[in-house]
Order: sequence, then structure tokens, then C-alpha cells
Amino acid sequence: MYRDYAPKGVKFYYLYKALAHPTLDGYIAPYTLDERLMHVKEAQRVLGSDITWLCDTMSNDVKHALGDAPNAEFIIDPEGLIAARRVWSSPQALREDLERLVGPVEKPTTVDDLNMKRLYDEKPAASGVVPRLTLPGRMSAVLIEPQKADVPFYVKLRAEAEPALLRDGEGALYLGFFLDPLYRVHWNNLVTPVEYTIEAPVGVEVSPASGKGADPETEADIDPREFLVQVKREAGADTAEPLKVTVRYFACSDTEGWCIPVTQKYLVRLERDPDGGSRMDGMRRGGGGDRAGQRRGEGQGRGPGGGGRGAGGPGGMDPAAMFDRLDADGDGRLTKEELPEPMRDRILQRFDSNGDGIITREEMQGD
Amino acid sequence: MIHPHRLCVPAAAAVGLSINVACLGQGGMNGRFEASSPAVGQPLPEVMLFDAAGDEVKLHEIKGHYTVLVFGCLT
Repeated sequence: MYRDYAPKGVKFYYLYKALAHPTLDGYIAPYTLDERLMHVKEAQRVLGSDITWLCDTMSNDVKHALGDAPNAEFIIDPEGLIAARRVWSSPQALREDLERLVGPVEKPTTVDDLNMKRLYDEKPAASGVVPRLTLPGRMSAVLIEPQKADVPFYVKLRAEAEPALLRDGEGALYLGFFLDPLYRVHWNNLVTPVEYTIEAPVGVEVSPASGKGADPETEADIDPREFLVQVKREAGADTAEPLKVTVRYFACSDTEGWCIPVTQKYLVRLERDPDGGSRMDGMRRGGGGDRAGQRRGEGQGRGPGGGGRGAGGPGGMDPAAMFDRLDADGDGRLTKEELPEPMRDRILQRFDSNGDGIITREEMQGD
Repeated sequence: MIHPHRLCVPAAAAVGLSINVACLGQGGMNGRFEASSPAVGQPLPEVMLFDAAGDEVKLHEIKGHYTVLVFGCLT
């Protein structure tokens, strides 16, 4: 599209936003604008396109102002007004819009004409040596605040809570420590493994409050170090007080030969992060699975495929996992707005046993 | 591999209720997008963003020519 319409005066911009699927390929949400601009540079390198990149603010102002969708697309007219918009980018629809607004091109460029090459980064240390954690079910990203540090956050924390923890104050909290691929570092398994400690506010219990990561036999690897802890908040405890997480690790450069001990701190709030994205990185979940992620697993996350009890048909998803995936606001009820439009009628027909237009967890699981 | 133009595979081709994982939750996303993004004919909101060098850019000053804006990220 760019090849065809840039010569006609149309400007094109990619707008870099919060990661839609953190942890995929090891990328974790950047903590600073400088890190997000490093992501932009990496995106430019990988895509190899001439299209200009813009970058959203760290409070995701543009994403929020333009509809909060991960891959939305807009055409703006010369007066600065919205000429077209869609929730999901569509090359075909975009071409139709540009033909209508600007005019057709004689010989449209195809994807094959672009001769795009797939880039594979060589990974200097082993991966797939530390088994991925199995989670109890769908979990939601929660807010984290990295505390000021003297060195970059070579290791980034991804924290997720299960719905019961967010709703009732008791449940599982996932802590995943991922090496940020932008910094090109690895774990040195000849020294002390990654270690975390959690300081909980008054009225909150965390178990275990400390732990050490896996210690594989390979000298170096780049697999995440993951932990599941149980959190219980007593009635009356201050819900605004965060957990204080400290992580200690050795970061070793892939290219410069150094290894340094690092201690970094985070505040973890038991509050859903609306910009936290969703996981598709091959991590196993109890009762079902992310089949797309497992196909990309490359040795991580091998295990039973998605399906569980089977929601009907080959490749069907476990009903409980499907319910969690669809329940966007976590209220335990699926309304019509939460159902994907192409399947809305079929899902209602299949599961809405009392015909009230709302699907409960019990109706979906057939209880 | 980044996908600035990643498409959600339509679930209409699914068997039974096999649902493409990438499409799950799109119903809620559609509603949010319709409700919170500027409609056709409306101006861009007055928010700041940055260029690749980290310099501030005013979104609502994008005018003077047709412009295509596509959201994307590394994952």
C-alpha cells in the first residue's frame, strides 16, 4: 500500500504502542520511554520498511484516545478529520478506502513484490531447558512499578493475578522474570540462581514469600524464571498497599563478556493493568492451553495441547478456559458485547440454556 | 516477528466451536473501540506522542494530506 500510495502524496505511519502479547519472543513491556524507543528501533530493523514510526507515551495516551485496540487503523483526511477507521487493520479494506479517497493504482503492489525476508536472531545461550510453569487458568496482568535502579532492567517482571485474587483478595499471583532481548544478556548458571523476596503489607499473607529460580545444568540460558505464590488479604486490610518485590540475579552480556550482580525492586499492585496485554507464549495453563503459543514454543511449553474436556469439535478449547478468555471484565458473566461478533449467535444458541442473553460459567461448562 | 498488519483469523472457518484463540475477546474489543475512538468525520484528539528520535509530536496536527495510521508493536 505504501509503495502504491506514498507517490500519490499519502503519508503512512506505524504507531508503536503497548505490547499486545508480552513475553512472546521474550519481549516484556518497556519500563521507560527510552526502552520503548529501543523497541521502535528493533521494529524498524526487523520489518525493514521505509514507513515512519511514531511512539505512544508511556501512559498509552494515544492508544486510549483512539479506541484501545491492539491493531487499529485510521485514515485521516487533509483537513485532519477521520476519513475511515477499523478496529483491526485490513490491507484489503485499506486498499478499498484509498481507492475511494485517492484513486486506484494501475498495477497494485502485492506482498510477493515486496520480497520480504524473515529475520531470525541467533540466540547465543540455550533456551527450552527450564520447563514453563503451569498456571491454574486465565490470569490478568496487574500493575507494577519498577523502582529506580542504577542499571537497566535487564530482567523484566511480568505479574499476573487470577480472577479470585483480584475479586476476593485471595488467590494465585504469577511472577515471571524475563530477560529483555534488547539488552542481549543471559543467565549465568554457574552462580547463584535468581532469587525473589516479597514484603507484604499489614493484613496480607504471601506464600512462599521468597524463592529461588531453576538451576539447570547448562552453563547459560535465556529461559524465564517463573513463580506462583498464594496471596491472602484479610478483611479490612488496606487494598491500596502494594506488595514489595525484590529480585536478585546475575546479568551476563552475550557480547561483552561481563557478568554483574543486580538487585532490583518493584511495587506490585493487585489491580488489573488495562494495558497489560495477553499471553501467547506457550506457557501451559491447567484445564486447557494456548495452542498458538505452544506451536511457537520451540521446546518450551511442551505438554498436552489445548482441548481439555473439549468444547466441541477438533481443536476445541476447554469451556472454563474459553469462558475466562471471553470474560473481558471478569464479572463471571458473558454478555453479548463480550462475544466475538462472527460467533455470537452460535455461542448463545449453544450455551445460553435459559435464553436470557447472558452466559454464566455454569451454562458454559454444562453444569 | 512483528505484525503491524496482523489479522485475526476469522473463526467462521472453525469446526464446531473451535475458536481461534486470537479472536477471543474481540466482541468486547469491538464495543470499546466503537465507543471510545473518534468517529468518521471527527478530528483527531489532542494528544502528544513521540517520533522515533523521542521528539514530541502533536497527533491533531496531522493534516494537509491523506494519512494512514496503523497501530503495531513487537508482539
